[in-house]
Order: sequence, then structure tokens, then C-alpha cells
Amino acid sequence: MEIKNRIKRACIIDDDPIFVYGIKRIMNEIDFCDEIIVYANGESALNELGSLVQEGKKLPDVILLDLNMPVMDGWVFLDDFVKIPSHNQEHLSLYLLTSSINPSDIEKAKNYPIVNNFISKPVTISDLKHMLKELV
Amino acid sequence: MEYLFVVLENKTSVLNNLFTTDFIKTAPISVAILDKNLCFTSYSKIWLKEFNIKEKKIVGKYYYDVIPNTPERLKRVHQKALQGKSSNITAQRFIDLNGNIQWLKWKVDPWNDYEGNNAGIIIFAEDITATTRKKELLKKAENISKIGGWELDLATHQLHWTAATKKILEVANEYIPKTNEDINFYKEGEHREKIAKLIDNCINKGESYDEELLIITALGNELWVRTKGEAEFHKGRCVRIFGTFQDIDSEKKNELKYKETAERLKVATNAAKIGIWEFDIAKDISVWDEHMYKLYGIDKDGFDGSDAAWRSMIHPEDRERIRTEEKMVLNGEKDLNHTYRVVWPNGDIRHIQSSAKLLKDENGSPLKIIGTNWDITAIKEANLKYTEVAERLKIAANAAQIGIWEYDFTNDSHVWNDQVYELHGVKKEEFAGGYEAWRSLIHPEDQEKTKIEEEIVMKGEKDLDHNYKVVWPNGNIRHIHAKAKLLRDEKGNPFKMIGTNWDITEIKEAEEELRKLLKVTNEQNNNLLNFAHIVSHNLRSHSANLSMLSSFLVNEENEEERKNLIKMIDEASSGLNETVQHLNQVVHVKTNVNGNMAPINLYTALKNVEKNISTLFKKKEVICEIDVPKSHNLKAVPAYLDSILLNLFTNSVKYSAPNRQPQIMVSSKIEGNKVVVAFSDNGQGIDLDRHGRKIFGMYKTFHGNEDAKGIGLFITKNQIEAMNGKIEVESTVNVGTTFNLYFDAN
Repeated sequence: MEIKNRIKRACIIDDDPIFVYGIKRIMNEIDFCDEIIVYANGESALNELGSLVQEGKKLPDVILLDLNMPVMDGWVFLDDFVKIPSHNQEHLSLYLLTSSINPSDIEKAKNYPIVNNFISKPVTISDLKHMLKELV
Repeated sequence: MEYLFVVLENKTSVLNNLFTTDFIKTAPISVAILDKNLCFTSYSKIWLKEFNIKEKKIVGKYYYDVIPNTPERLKRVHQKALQGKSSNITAQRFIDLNGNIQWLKWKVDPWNDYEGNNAGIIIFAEDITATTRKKELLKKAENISKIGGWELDLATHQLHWTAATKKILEVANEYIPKTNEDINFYKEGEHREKIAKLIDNCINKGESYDEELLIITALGNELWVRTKGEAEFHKGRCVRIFGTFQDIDSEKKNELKYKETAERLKVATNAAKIGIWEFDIAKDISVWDEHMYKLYGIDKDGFDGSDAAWRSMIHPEDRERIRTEEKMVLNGEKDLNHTYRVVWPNGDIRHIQSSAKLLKDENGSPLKIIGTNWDITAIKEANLKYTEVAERLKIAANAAQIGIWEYDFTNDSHVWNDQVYELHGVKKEEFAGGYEAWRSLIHPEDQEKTKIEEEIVMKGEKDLDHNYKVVWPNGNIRHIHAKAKLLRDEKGNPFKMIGTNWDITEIKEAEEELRKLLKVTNEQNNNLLNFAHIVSHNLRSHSANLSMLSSFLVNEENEEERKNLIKMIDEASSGLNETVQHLNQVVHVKTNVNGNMAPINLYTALKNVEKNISTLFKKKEVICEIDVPKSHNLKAVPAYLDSILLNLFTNSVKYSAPNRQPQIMVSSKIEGNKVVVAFSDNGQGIDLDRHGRKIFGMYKTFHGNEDAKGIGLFITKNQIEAMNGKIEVESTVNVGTTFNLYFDAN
């Protein structure tokens, strides 16, 4: 895996605009990455990312995925996302975000190898800093 | 005889003529004189008798004619005598004319005439048959009885033993004992000392003796002998002692063995405390051993041995019965074997077992009864206790409704107590028993599993412990629990099964209730947990946002940005508020049902809601068909019913298909005690494969609709379930959706 100084592209898939605003603000504060993409629900994210792969373009380096979204929640997104044939997926780090404290969610996450880690909202600066350390 | 012979020899010539007179004829001995030709010249009458000669006149007759059986040896002796040689034969066996055996003693001498010339021979004969025979018999008797004789001549100090004695002592027949040698044959120690003393007494005091002692034979064998001795006195002094000597070895040994056996018997009866008694019927006397007294609790002097005395010790209540049984014994019908109580002098009562045999005399009349007694008080008490316990068990089993049963493999039979019949719903008189008959009572569903359990038990892996259902003749189904133990014989084959049964129907039914309750509780718990998670999630989302925004606000200096942040704070706090309200609603539904249920007419309720929503219907050009019988009434909380119907109507409008006119149809039917309301529309439909599980979940939305909070159906479901109903959905994407609602009918 190539070691980078910073993350090029981060993707946030979350329907809560307030949360998205907040996390973007924190990312900018710590210079988390070059580019941030936001999708409001799983369906649109899946479509967009799917076309990226089809066009041969690079996928984002980091995906922060919220579990509780309308139309298509995080689990359904994951189920479909892992089916997309992609050579880029090893370079991709995916984090699950949720306010949920349901232990069964944590257990379920273990069934998806693509999931790096589970992060509980509220997301703090230290969480992001830690993430940076891990990825860079 | 010798005296006579001397006389004859001297006075030959003178007496020659005399011999032809009656002198010889009447001689008291058996004598005959023959001439040189061995013809009789004279003879005594006794001679005729001796030889059993019938002829009266034998003078001049040839000897061998008269006595034809003369042995050759004798003839030679006669010849020799003619030549002058005497002969003296002490004993000769002789068979006379009649076939009798005779033993004769002969003396044959030459007979000279008065001139001294040989004139013939003179024969003296003595019949010693009797004595010889006696001797022979005595010898034979000696041999048979193994009694030998002995004699000690005190004058000559000669010790004489008969052949039998020598045989006993295992010395040679020719052996001649030395004086006092006999004593040394006795076993050293007390036996030898004894015989020495006895002989001494015999000689000195004339005391006869008769003693059984041990000897060591010449060959070293130990032998028991009976030695008798007596003395013969002459002029105050002992001249000889004599007696018999008998081999009693086998008899003695038998005697000793008998004594040993008797001793053992004594020990045994002692240990077993068996009393032995004998009753002489004629004399009316019983003889008791020491144990008998103990059994009856009396001293030896306390019992005179009479029948009456014994009978008085028997318990009064048992006397009659004993008499009856004794009669049967005396009649020879059976041996005595019975029990009875005796009363001791101190008042104690003991149970005695008596066993006896009747002895008869040669004529067959009762002579004696010999028998045994022993104390069975302990056994009797144990038996009583056992009976008591068995009774108690019966009562307990009855009270506890426990069935106790026994199955005998060898003859396929059952022994059931009353409860087992009750448990299986059969009557004692009607149930044949046997394995198949019992099996026919078992519920078909449990036939298999009971067979399997039995197999395991027969293999010896465990005791029987299972439950099964039985079907009573009247159709009732009862649950029975069975526990049993398998008993095997010495070869390891099953021969009996003993077990218990009890009814667990109520328990089983309670279990079933409990299980259902548990299921419901579990479901409800899960719901609650889910609910808690959902709520906490939503609360957390909003509160997390609030804290995040306010921390930004604190550090924000840009006025534009501050306005933005404040607006977002406002949004977040509204969201929080709304969540709390939803929470309230749901909690309210969950807790507030029972008191508010009322009978409601479905048609009326539907029409009402339709009216309230008429503006929306008009706007959206909704066609609404209500095809509900006016007779259908249901039990519901009015507010909830309204809320449910409203929610479904508005959903149908919200999710109507964009390219067609919304159509809603409501119908109802009765199913059992439920009213089933079908609510159909022709809207967008829901992909149940993808969303089926979540459709009634909280905050779950699928269509990206702006208005969709995802809470409507959640509340609807809670409301209908709170009223003991349920809601189901069928849907096809782009065709339409149908909700089926189940209400309690009124």
C-alpha cells in the first residue's frame, strides 16, 4: 500500500445535514484531506460510486458511512457496494458511523471485511486525528 | 481209658475169655478187638453206636465190610498194628454210613494172646466230633467277632493268645508272647497306665474289668480294642487271669464321629437358639433341652413336663387353633408346623415356630412326637411393620394420586394400584392388562418416543423417566409422567419393572401457557429493546449535533457563520423535540388501552375519516370505495382506530403512483372472532423483499419522500396490536399495496 502524506479524497454518506456540516468543518480544521464528497443516502452514493468504477476512475480513499439513512440504509448500501467489481477496493478504508449503541450492530459489522472500524457519533477531532494516523 | 488198657495188657491170658463176655460189650468206651484177619472178635455196644452200625452181630465180620468208609491211612495203621506197631491218632475226620461228619480219636495197638503171640489188634475210638465242632465254631466266632481270647497263667507266667488275638495285634500266628508283653501293646500314656492298673487290680483284688483302649499293633497301626479280664482264685490266691480282646475300631470310630456330629448339632442349635423337645404320648411327659426353657421364659423347675403344663403357657387365643392342628398331626395327616404365642411368666409375649414329627410304634399307633421350637418374635414384628409400611404407602399413594405399578416380563402381566387405573382412565374390571393393552392407551403422537425410551432402558443405559399422553376412552387427553426401574434376574435378563406414574396434565398445560407468555414477553422485550435503541439513536443524533454546533458557536467569530450555526442549532433542537414527542406517543399507545376499548361500527368510522380527509382526496382526485357491511362491529379504542385509518388513507395518497389516478378500496370480512379489514391502493407499492422487515419499523423510510418521517406505520402497528389485533401488508412495486387489519369482533 502506498503511503501518502494526506488523504486525497474522503466520501461522507450521511443524511443528517447538520452532522455533515460539522464533520466537514472539523476535517477542514485538521486538514484531513484534499477533497470531500457528500451523499445524502445510500442509493445515490451507490449509483455515483458505481459509475466511477465503470468509468475506470479512482474511488475515494476514505468512506464514512452512516447506518441510519432513508431509502437505503448503510447495511443495504454495504451489501450492494461489495458486489461492485473493483480493483481499487484494497486502497479504500470504510468506516461505519452511527449514533446507535445496539450491540447487534457492532456484531453485524464484523461480517463485512471491508469495514475498517466502527465510529460512534458524535465524531470528535481526536477520532479524525486517529483516523489520519491509521491511514497515512 | 489208659488205666483200663494197662489192666488189659497185664491180664491178657486170664481175661481172654472174659472178653467174649458182656464185659467188653458193656464197656463204657468205644472199643473193638480184631483178629489177625481184621475180623471182629469182640466189640463194645458203644462201638456200634459210635459208628452207627445197625447190625447186631458183627463178630467174625471183616472190619472193612462193616465200616466201609475207613480211610486208607487208618488201614495202614491197622496193618502196622498187626505187625506190632501201635498208633495214636488224635483226630480224624470221618464220614459214617449216614453221611454225618464224625471226628474220631483212635488208639490202635497190637493184641497179643495169652501166649504173647499177636492175635490181632485192639482199637479204642473216641468221638470228638462235638468238641471239635465246638472248637471250630468258636474259632469261626472269634474270626467273625474279631474277639480273641487271652490267658495269663500266674503259676507258669505263660501268656497265651488265641489266633484271633494275634490277628488283632497283627503278629504271626506262631508267635508266642512273653510274660507281660501284652501291656506294651497299649498306647503309651494314659491307655497303658490304665491297663496296667486294671490288670494289677484284677490280680490282687480279683476285680474284673471291661475297658475300651487304644493299642498300637505290631505293624504300627492304631486300633481301638475292648479288653475284658477276670481272675480265677484258688485258695485265696490268683492262679490265672483270662479274658477277651476285641477289635472295636470301626465301631469306636463311628461312635466318636457320632459324638462329634452331636457336638456340632449342639453348637448349632445353641447358636440358633433352637429348642429341641420330645413328648411321650402314653406317659404324657415331655423332655426338653435347655433352650426350650429359655424360649418359654421359665426355669427348669418351673416345668413338670406334662402336656397341661405346656398348654397353660400358650396364649389363650391360640390354644384352640393348636388343638385342631395337633389332631391333624395325630391322625397322620401331616407333620406339625405352626406358630403360636407363648406368655412368659413376666407377661412378655413371644411368637414361637414349632416343627415336629410323629413317631409311631410297630402297630402304627402314635408313640412319640419329637420336634423343635424357635423364637420368631423378631420376624413377626418385622412382618407387622412391613404391613404397616405397606399400608402407609398405599394411603400416601392414594393421597398424592401417585400410581404404583409393576410389570412382569415372564408372564406379560401388570399389577396396578388404583391410581394407575385412574390415571389411564380405565376401570379395573375392563382392563385386561399386558403390554399391548397398555400401549393401546398411549396417544398416537407419543407411540414412537415411548418405544425409543423403553429401548434405551432395556439396554441398561438408564432408568425409565419420560412422559407421554394417554387418550381416555371418553376422548380426554392427559399427560402422564412415568419413572421406573428395571429389575434383572441372575442371568441378567429383564424380569420385572417397577415404577410410578403421575398426572402432569395441569403442569403441562401451565407449561404451555408459560411458554406462550414467554414468547410474547420475549417479543415484547425485543420490541422494547429495539425501541430503546431506536429512540436513543435518534436522541443521540440530535443532542450530538447540538453539542457539536454549540462548541463551534463558541469559537466562531464570523457573523455569517454564527447565523448559520444558530439556524442549525434551532433545527437540531426541533428535531430533538419531535423525537421526544414521538416517544411520548408510542409510550402512550403501549400503556393506555384496556379501559378505553369500545364497540365501534366499522362502516361509520370509515365514513367519518373519509369525511375528514375529503379535502385532500379532492385535491389529489382520489377515488375511494368503502365496501364494508354495515353490520360489522369491532372492539377498539376510538381514537386509535381513527388514527390508524387516517394514517393508511394519507399513506395511500402520499405514495400514489404518479401516472395514475389514486384508487383506494376498503372491504371487510369476518374470520372466527376477528373482523378483517382489507385496505388496498394502486400506488407505488413497496419492494417487500428489500424492505419487508422494516416497513413497520421506527424511522424507516423507503421512498425519499420529503414528508416521510418513518413513524406512521410504526405507531399504527403499535396501536392495532395494543387492541389485540395485527396488521399485515401485501404489495407489488408499481401496482399497489394492500394492508390487512385484524380487529376483535364485537
